[in-house]
Amino acid sequence: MKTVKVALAGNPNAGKSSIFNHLTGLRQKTANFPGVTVEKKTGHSEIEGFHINFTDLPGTYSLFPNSKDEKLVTGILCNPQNESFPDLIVYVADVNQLERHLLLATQLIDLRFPVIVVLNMIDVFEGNTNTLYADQLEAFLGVPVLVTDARSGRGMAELKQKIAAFCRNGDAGFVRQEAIYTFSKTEQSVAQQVETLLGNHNLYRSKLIAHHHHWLDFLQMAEIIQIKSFIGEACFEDIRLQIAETMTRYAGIQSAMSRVVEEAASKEQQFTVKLDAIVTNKYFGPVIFFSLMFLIFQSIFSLAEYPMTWIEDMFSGLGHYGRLWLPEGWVTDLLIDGLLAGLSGVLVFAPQILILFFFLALLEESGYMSRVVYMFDHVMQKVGLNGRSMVALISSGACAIPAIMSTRTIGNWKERLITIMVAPLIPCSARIPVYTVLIALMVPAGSSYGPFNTQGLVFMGLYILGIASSLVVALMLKYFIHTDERSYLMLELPQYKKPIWSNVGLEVWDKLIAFVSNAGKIIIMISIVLWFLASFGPANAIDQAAQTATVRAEQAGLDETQSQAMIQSAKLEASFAGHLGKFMEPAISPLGFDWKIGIALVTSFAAREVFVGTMATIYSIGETPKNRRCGSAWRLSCGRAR
Amino acid sequence: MFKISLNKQTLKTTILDLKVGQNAIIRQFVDHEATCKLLCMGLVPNARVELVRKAPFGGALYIRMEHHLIAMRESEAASVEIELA
Repeated sequence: MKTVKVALAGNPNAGKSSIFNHLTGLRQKTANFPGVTVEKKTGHSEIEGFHINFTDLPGTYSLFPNSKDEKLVTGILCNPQNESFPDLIVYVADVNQLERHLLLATQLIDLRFPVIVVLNMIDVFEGNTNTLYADQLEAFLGVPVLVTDARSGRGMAELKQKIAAFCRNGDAGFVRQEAIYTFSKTEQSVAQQVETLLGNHNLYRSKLIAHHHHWLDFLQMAEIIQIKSFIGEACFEDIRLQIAETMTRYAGIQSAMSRVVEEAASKEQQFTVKLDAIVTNKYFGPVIFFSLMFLIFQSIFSLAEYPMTWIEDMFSGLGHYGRLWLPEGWVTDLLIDGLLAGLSGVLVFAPQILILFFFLALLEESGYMSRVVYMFDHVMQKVGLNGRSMVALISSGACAIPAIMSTRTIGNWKERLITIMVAPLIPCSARIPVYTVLIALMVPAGSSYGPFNTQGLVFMGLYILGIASSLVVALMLKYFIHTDERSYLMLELPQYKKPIWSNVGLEVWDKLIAFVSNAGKIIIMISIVLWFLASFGPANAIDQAAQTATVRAEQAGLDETQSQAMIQSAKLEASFAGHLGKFMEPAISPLGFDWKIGIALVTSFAAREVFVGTMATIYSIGETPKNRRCGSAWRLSCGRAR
Repeated sequence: MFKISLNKQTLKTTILDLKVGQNAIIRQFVDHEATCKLLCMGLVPNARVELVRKAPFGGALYIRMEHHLIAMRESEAASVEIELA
C-alpha cells in the first residue's frame, strides 16, 4: 500500500512537537534535512490500516522566511519534487493566539495543500471562559478544523480519524477551492509567467517562487534569469508586496475572528508577566540565571558520579570475566581491550549528557530559555553574536554537536557562523576528565592558595578560560566576517507552562541516542585502531623493550606497581603509536610538546576525551581516585598490568 | 494647518519613546525590511502594545501585546510608529 506523507506545520510554540509525539510515540527518529543542519524529526504510524509517515517541520511564522528553519520549510513546500513534500498538512495553531497563528495557515491553504487545522491548547482557552465557534472558522478557511489539548491527549482520536478519512477519500473536503488572498495585477502577471515557465499549476506557489527565486535551491540558473526578467518588467517589488500580502491576510483573519472567538481576559498571561517581573528583573534576572547555571552544572557532576562509577565497574567486571572465560589470543584482546574499552569510554559519558539535556529540555519547555535570549541579547551583540547564541553556548556545556544544531534559529548568517565557530570552545562535559588529568599531572595535590585548594582553583580557571576564549574569539571574528544581512531579535516570549514530561523524556532520549550512536561509532572505531597501534610494533620491538624495562626496574629496586608502569610505558614507546609520536615530534616541539603529547593529540582527533586515556597510559600515573575515570577506558585497553 | 503638523508630530512617536508601563496603538511601520518580520510576529496596525520593561543589560525591550509577549531590540522598536493611548 502507498505510504501517505503527512507534515506537521505551525508557528513556534504552538505545541506541534507534542502532537507529533502523540501521533508517533517512540516510533520516531531525528536526522538532518539533506544538506543543512536543521533537525528533521520523522516518525511513522499505522492508522486504521493506513501506513503514514509523519514529518515535524520546524516552527514557522510565515512563508516569507526570516531564518534558516523557515527558509527550509518554504523551500520544501514550494517544490513538489522534494522528498519531504507532503500529501497532507496537519496545521497546529495555538487557539489562544489564533489571529497570528492563522497567517501561515491561510498561506498553506492557498498553496492548495490538503490541510487539517488543529486548534491546540483548548483547555487553557476554555479555562479562561472563552468561547470558540469552530464551524465559523471552518467556513472561513474552507478546510476541517479540530480542537485538541496535547497535554491531556484530548482530540487526538478525532485527529487520527480525520487523517484516516483523508487516506480513504483523498483531497475532497481538505482542499479549499478558491484562494483566500486575491492577487494584485502585478502579482497575477508575474505569477502566471512563472507558472508557465515552470509548469507547476499553482499560482500562489509561483508567486512565492518569484519572491524567493534568489535563494530557492531547486531552480535552474536559466529559470532564475527568466524569473528575474519577469520581475524587472512588471516592477514586482518584493518587500512591498510581501507586506501588502501579509496585511491583506491579517485583515481577512481579523474580520473572521470576531465571529470565531468570544473572549474573556487571559489569566495565564498575567501570571507570566508577574513571574517575569522577577525572572527578567534588572538585578534578579542575571543573578537567577547564573545561579541556575551553577546549580545545573554542579548537579551534573555530583549526580553523574554514581552512575558513571557503576558503568565503569560493570565494564571492568565484564572485561575481567571475559578474560577468564575466553581463550588467550589476539581476538580476545581485540574484543576486550579494543571493543569493550571503546564501548565503556562512550557509555561512561551518557549520565552527564543525560542529566544536562534533561535540564536544558526543562528550561526550553517551560519557556525560560526565551527570557535568557532576551536578557543577554545586548551583551551578545557586543561580541558579534545574537541573544539566540546563548542557547547554543549553554548547550555546548554538554556537547558541541547539539549546540551547533541549535544555531539554526539564528537568522543572520554572520551571527550563526560565529556562534558555530565559538561554541566548541566552551568546555563541554567530555573535557572535564581532560582537565582533571592535566591538573593531576601539573599541579601538586594538597597544595593550597589561601583557603582554596590549588587544583580546584586551576580547574575553575580552565573553565573560565574556555568561556572567555569563546567570547574573545567571537569578538575577533566580528571584525573578519561581513554580511549585509540585517540582524534581528524579534522573539516571542511564550507563556510559562508546566513542562509536558513525555516531551522532556522523548527529547532527552533522542539526544542520548544521537550521542551514543553517532559519537559512539567514531569513538569505538578509534579505540580499536588505537588498540592496534599501541599493542603492536615493528618486528618484536615491544617484547625487547619490555625485557629491557623489566631488567632496569629490577636494578632500580622498584616495587610491583612502579615497575609495571615503567614496562607499560616502554612498551608503548616501542609500539606503532610510539613511532607515530616520535615522527611528529619535530612539528610540535616548538609548542613545547613531546612525542607523548603527540600521540595524545592524534588520538584526540576522534574525541577530546580519548586524549585523557592516552595521557594516562603514557605518563603512567597510578590509580588514584582522582584520575581513575580518566584512565580507565584506555587503561583497560592498553594495560592489563596495573 | 496647526492640526496637521500636530498629527505629524504624534505619528513620529515610536515604541522606543514609550515609558515603562505605558500603552499605545500601532499605527504604521517606518522600515520596510523590518516590517515583514514585525508583521509575522503579530505586530499589526491597530494592535495595542505596552512596554513592560527593559532588558537588564539594555538594548532590548519586553513588549506586551493583547495575546502574547514579545522581545525586540531598540532598533526594531524604533521602526514601529505608535499613537499613545
